[in-house]
Amino acid sequence: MFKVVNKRHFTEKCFAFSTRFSLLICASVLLFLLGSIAIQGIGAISLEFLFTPAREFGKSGGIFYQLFGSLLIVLVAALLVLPIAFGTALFRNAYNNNLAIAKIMDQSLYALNAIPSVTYGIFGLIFFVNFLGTGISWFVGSIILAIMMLPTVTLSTHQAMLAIPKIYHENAAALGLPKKEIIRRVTLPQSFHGIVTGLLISLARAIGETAPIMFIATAFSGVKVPGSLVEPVSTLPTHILELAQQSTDPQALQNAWGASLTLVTLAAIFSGFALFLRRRLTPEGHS
Amino acid sequence: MSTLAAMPPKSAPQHGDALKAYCQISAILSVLIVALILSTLILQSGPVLSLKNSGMFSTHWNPDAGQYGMMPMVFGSVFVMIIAAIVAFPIGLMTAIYISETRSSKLRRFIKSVLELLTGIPSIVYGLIGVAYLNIWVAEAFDLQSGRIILTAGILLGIMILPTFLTLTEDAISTVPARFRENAKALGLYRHEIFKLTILPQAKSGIAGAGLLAIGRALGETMAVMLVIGSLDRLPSPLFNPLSSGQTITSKLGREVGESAFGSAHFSALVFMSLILVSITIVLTIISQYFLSRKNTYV
Amino acid sequence: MTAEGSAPQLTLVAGSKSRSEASPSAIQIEGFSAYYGKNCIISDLSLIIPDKGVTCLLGPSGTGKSTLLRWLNRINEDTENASFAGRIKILGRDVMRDYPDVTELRREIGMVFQQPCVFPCSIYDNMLMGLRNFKLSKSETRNIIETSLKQAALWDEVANRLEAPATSLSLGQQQRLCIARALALKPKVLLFDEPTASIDPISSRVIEDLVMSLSENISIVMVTHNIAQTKRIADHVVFMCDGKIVEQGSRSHMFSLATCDKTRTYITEEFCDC
Repeated sequence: MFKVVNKRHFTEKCFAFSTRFSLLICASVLLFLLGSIAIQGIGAISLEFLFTPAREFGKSGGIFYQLFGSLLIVLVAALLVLPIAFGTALFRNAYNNNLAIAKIMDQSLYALNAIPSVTYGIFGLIFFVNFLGTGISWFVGSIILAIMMLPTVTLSTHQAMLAIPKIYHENAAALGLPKKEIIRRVTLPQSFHGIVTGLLISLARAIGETAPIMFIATAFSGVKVPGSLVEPVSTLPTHILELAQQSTDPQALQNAWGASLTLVTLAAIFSGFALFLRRRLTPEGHS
Repeated sequence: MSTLAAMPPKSAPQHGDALKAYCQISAILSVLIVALILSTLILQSGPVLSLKNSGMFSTHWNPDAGQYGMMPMVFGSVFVMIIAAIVAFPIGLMTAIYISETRSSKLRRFIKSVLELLTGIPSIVYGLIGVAYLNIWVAEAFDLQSGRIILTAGILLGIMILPTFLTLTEDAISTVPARFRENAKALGLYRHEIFKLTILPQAKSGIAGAGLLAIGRALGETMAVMLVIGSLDRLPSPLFNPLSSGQTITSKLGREVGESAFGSAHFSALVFMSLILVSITIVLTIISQYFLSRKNTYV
Repeated sequence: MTAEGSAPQLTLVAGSKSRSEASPSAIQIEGFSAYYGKNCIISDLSLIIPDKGVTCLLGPSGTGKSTLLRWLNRINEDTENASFAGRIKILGRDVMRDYPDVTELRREIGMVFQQPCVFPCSIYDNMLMGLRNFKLSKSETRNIIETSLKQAALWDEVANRLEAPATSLSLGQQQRLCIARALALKPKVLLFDEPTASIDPISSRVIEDLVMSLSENISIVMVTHNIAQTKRIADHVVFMCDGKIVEQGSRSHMFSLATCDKTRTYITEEFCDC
């Protein structure tokens, strides 16, 4: 038997303590975040709040047009991103054998993911609003959000396609199916969950984005249902921003909390649905 | 079934080609978008770059006088990022160790799902929490007039990047096969030694990737920072005083892009700052992807 | 852990030596049951494992041999849903109660797993891994490492490349490094969990010889479902099936005079219907 160094025992105790303590901090931060949003938000929220338009620059009244604007802008963005993301992923998996092209595609998707949200706003402002002369337009907001969603949806679809066992392709090819049929019968159904979860996760993120749309797609007050593609809407995040800047006014702050809870709930619905689908649709426990 | 052989194939060849063309167009489009964004930023940075005496490296920002000193913003971004890293990394790492060591896979799954939901809280909502609580608490704690200071922004950012860093770090630690842990345990090592001697050498590149990605997020974060940092275009004095108000590149952009005239030198200076920011975050992300993808080299 | 002796020592503490001489058994297991969740893996098992020599736990896969082994040094207590009832004494000390610091137990009882697992560092650092717990001078450390590697019949192969990465060794060498690593701690009991199952036959033979030579000084408990191997190296055989002991005895008894039909069937046909 050796003599054991007791310092190590002490270090072990410190280590165990600090891991537990860190978990405790994380848990309390989490409880505080969710708790404050929930408690403050529930106080402000009601059916009336959700379904009446804002009055007095948001201080009173509800958030009906903001809710509408947010949903409109992200759902249209989802429709825009879907075909491009699917096409890109399919190209990467079914048609491209060139490693260099694959690398370039990967890097540009990562780069797209890395661009800060405010930069997207500036890009939209320069390219669409001024260069193409659309003016402040909700549809431009949708396009910009679609670009932001592109990497997540593409990568998720790509990964799902990658996870399809090769044997399926080989068996389908051995039956003499043409490539188009293999894609339709094997690739599409087997990677469907990847498209849907990627879309839902990116929707959850997109609906909370403020910086990309605040210069190009939104107006704060006096906005109703847009009559054309080039009119502004009002959205939940930009509404919260305006109200947060008047945070000394308790009335404004209360409405900001109400809008926040609505926004977080929407995001949670999207990502909760994604988690649920990932478990339900993922074949044979792939992640 | 002898007729089968005689039947012509159902799909005409040009259909397959149409599908291929559609895929190619999408792929080209998604690569071109990045190029389009970057070239737009570069082109619009032109006016301020061609301007003599723009004083970009000075500390004075005054568009009316033609002074576009970006140093306060660049410094603010870096300073806030460092504070965020100090807040998030130790706590994130220790919590990740706890989660990866826990016996209960149920607890583990639960924590991971909650973290995923946490990353879904929009940054504007973090901003609201910062405005409503954090800046008041910080003001009280340090006996300040206003809590809208660099420290508040740093703490808030730290909280925001914590879930990202935590999940990725936990992934990196969990991919180290359990047998290493068991062998080290059988030698009578303590948990901290097991981590230091066997887990860390194999997980460090994944952890580094997680850290870089989190830092990249922190640099690009706009709304929350903009609401709590106080928007003061000056270097803090003394330089590393976290209790003074400040400005980051992103908060500057969020505040002023809407107010500057398109095409002016002022607007161009803002675009150029954005270009600096994008370059840094893209480089950080690409390096972090490199680290994250080679985390299993030892196994 | 005893703190006797002013200088860091490598010798056995006198007290424990006399204690192990006093008891002819290395391990006493009384009324032991093990569970994963609600599944009972081992039910009410009692067993005495003699001091020194090789004791083989033989039986078909999934009968709780490994689970039993993994409870002997409490590696299993970190496994999800694992629980136990009963009592295990090793050299007179209750494994579950007398070791508030579990690492002390694991230092006294070495374990070698089925899959060779060297850490991604040099051979020398692998050997050092368990020794970090002790205050040892450089020369003492080197001595221990050299002796252990010699004991594990690996010294000649690695003496001139101790700084080479351990992953550069062959699988058989890696497994011997794992054994040497455990030996460096001077364990009184060594647990082997199918140590040759993932290794080629020739390297297996080397390890078998090694196990037999070690058993002169160390009590060895080995889980295996390889009957030929048991025949070659076991001093004492415990035949387990379905979480229970079917029959046990010396090697000669088990392979020629086994009284139980099940044992005979398993030994001759490698088949068990329980």
